[in-house]
Amino acid sequence: MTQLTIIAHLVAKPDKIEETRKFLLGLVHPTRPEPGCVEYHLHQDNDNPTEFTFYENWTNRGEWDKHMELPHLSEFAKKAPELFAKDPHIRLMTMISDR
Amino acid sequence: MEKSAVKFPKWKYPTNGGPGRVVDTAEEEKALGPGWVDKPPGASDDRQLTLIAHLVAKPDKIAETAQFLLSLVDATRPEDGCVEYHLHQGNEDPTVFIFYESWTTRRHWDLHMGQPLVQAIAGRADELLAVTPRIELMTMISKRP
Repeated sequence: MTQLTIIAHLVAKPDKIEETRKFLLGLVHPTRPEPGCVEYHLHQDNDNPTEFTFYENWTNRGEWDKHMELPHLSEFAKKAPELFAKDPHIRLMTMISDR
Repeated sequence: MEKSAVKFPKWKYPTNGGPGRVVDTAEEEKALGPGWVDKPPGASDDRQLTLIAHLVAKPDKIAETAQFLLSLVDATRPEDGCVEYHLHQGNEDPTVFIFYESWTTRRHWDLHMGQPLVQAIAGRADELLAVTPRIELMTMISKRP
């Protein structure tokens, strides 16, 4: 099965930047040891600190689907309206350059 | 779309060491005034830089764009300060290409952007790309495992 790359773009409400940062960083530790997680990195935009991006690689689509059903991700969905200015934008990609 | 609609983004940097910005037109560049230059003054930012570059190919140029962008990978990875440099294509929309890049510092990326091969993207943008590339400069805030 093909490896899956996820690029997820999240925009925090201007008064929730620190809370969002802490919450998103809290997802990194439980996610990295999950089956199929190749890498899972969180970034903050240099010019627009409300903008956060996850860069993720999964061994296949099925493993990412399972990840999205886990309790820490449901918690994420619950907190989303409080923290984010708009709906997360998630792109499903395929890495076409060799590792 | 008019041919002139696609340009490679031009960056300007304030001489006070603040963050750079993209200028879209010559008028906009002029309006910035004398406090802005083409290269960042000094190494004002020693953090590692991660950037995501979004490119959208014209629907009839997908294969050609993929081939051209892939040719940048082998040339770029050995460059000084290049930590990682990966190219991706959208699963649902194959016209979407994204580079995910990490550089030792902002300065290393600036030098990379001056390389002839990267300048070649600018030269072929009108022919291959549907819109102006969008580049997001970021800092990785999760620790590397």
